[in-house]
Amino acid sequence: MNITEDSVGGVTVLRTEGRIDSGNASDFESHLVRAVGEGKARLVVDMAQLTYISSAGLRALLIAAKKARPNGGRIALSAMAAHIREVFDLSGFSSLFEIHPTEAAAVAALAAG
Amino acid sequence: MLLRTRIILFVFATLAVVAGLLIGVGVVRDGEANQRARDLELDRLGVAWRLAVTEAAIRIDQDLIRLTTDPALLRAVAAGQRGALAERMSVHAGGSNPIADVNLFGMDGALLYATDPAFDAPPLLTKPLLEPVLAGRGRVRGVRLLDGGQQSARTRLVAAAPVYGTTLEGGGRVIGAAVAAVDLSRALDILRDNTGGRVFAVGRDGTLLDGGGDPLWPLVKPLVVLDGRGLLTLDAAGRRYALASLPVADLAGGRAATVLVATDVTATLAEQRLWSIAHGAAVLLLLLGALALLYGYLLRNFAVLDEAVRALQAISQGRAMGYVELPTGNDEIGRIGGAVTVFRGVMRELERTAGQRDRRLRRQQRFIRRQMETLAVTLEEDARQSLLDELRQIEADAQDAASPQSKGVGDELGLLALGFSRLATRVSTQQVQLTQMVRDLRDALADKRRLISLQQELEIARTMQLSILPQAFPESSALDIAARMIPAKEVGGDFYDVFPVGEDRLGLVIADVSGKGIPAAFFMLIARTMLRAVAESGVGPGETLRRVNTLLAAENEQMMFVTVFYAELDTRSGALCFANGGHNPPLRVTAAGAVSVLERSAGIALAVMPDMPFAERRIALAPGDRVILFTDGVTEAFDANGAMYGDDRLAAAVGGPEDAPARASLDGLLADVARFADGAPQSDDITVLVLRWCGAMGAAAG
Repeated sequence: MNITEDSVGGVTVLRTEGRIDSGNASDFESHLVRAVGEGKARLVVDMAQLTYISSAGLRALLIAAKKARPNGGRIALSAMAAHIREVFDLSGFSSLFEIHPTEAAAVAALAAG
Repeated sequence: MLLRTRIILFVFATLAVVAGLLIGVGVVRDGEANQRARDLELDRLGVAWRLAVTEAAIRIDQDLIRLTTDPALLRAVAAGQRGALAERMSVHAGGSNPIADVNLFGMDGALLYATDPAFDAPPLLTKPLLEPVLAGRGRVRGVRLLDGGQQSARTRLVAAAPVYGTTLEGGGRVIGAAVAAVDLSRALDILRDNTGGRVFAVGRDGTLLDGGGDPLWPLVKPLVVLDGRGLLTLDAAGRRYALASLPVADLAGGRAATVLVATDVTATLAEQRLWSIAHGAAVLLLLLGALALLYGYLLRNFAVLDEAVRALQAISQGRAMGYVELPTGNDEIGRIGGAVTVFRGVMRELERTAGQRDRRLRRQQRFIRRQMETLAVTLEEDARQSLLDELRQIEADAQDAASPQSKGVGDELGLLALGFSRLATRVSTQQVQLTQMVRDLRDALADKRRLISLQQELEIARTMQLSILPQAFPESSALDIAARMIPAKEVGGDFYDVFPVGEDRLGLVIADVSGKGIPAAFFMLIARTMLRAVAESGVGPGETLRRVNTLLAAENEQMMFVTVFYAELDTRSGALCFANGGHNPPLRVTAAGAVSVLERSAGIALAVMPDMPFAERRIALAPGDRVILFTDGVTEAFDANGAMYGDDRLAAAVGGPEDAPARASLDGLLADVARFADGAPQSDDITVLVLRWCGAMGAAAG
């Protein structure tokens, strides 16, 4: 797993790469929690380079979403590969997150909101 | 400059000063002696002159005696008869022995007769000069400078004698005086004869009186001193003369003339010079002899001192071994020699002990170095290597005396001490490291013990977890069930369950808890217990999942969740009713081997959000149908290259016509997955449940 952080138009973008499994999900979680922070966070988790995400990775996303919600923060996911999307669809997580086809679309959506 | 040379120079200078003083005193004494000799010479010449005068006067006296013994003359004098006198005198004047110049005076001093025919010729003696003669007190003789008359002044030798009367005429009384004079040259000739010198005479005014014929006169002339005695030297024709000036007193007072006597002193002077040279040479020889003696003496005595100095120099250059016995004596030099001998002995002894100490020191150094090297060997590799390098460096520095380190520590022992201190530092560092390592090791051991204990507990948990997963399934001819869970870690997050719901229904569960390990196992236990409890109430799969979801989501701080597929099989009809909480839909394989995915039904993973709806679906199983329930550990099994097992491989593995028991299907599938992974580490739990429905067939058969 490799995560790079960027800021595009006031929106924090975390670009994930490789595999997120139970071995590194806690790293992913701490990245997300730090990015969400205390204030009204607007975070895009880009998954264009992500090859695999396990249930532990999903749980990290859930934790971040729960932490962001009381402060009015928003988390959007972008550019999922088909099999990743499948995981989200199967688990029903697609209904919990905003999912955009591209990073730009996700950033635009959050910036507009 | 050597002490010997200084002493010789000092003595030489002292001798020279003394000799100078002696010579000076000698010169002064010579001068005085010369002066005395000159005085004596002058006295001698003066005496000679007086003798000459006296001798000449004696001749005059003979004439006077002849006159005063002539009775005729006596009578004439007594009578004062000038005529008779002149007559009688003419007798004396003639003849063979004429009287040169005579004056006869009466008792009253009147000139009765004068040989000088000149009318106004002055008397030879004036009246005052005649007094002593007339008074009968003796004779008068001397030199008179007679002036006056037609003649120029003459210097004459004059002698006067009293004239005694006969018994007839006066009874022996003095009746007059007879005075005779001769030329000064007569006395001079006598002087010339007596002294053998060259005699000159000059008058009161410096005019030459006698000796003009002498060839020496032109040289003497400029040297004439008119007043006073004196002795001069005169060089002429290669010879040296002593020129003495003798003033000649006038009877009447004053100076009548000056007599000069030149004596040949060439031989005397040469003799004198010879004596002087001999004297000087003797003094010089004496001086040189004394110096030579002194030099020899000093040389002999200083030889000992030189030897002592050489010995001391040898000692100062660190050579006390070249042993030469120094002669000792009772004098200072001897004592110095003795002291040096003793000192050299002491130095030799010191050197010997220093050598011994040095050897001992080197032995100790070698020993210490060996010990240090031995000690270094016990250090760990890096420290030992760097320490040995340092030792070598220090030894190299010890060889190079100019290195700053060598200067800093002074000697080899100091260098060794430096090495030792570094070794000590290293050993102490190592000791600290070792202590730390021991502490770490102890901690690690404690951790390991704790870990072992935890592993044992985990093992217990695993056993417990596995034990709650049913291993035996309801025996029935209508159906055949096989299931297995292979955890990725000791305690897994997957589970399956099979339990009866009421009389005719069988509950089938497969679930996947997010994460693994103890939290997942706990969550799994809770979820399984809740699911079984709710399902047994017979509310149907959809409602069961709805209720369990709400219960789990209520207190879920950890945001754990679980995907669940729950189905209820009607064991009479083979109808399968199911609901899906975010789980992989199972596969259905017909007896002919066709594989299909069970219809997806709406539903989210449980415990994420409360009060979510779960749709329910129903299918009818045909005899020979198999339903494969699985978790994503199967489809998402990876091989060593990171490739995923995937849905297609799963479908291929389970597809195809088959009439084997469920157990065989299960084993075949798991074997295929294991083959695919080919030893790659398992990242997720792998759980499979196979249901084979054979009810209708069984019923048909039965």
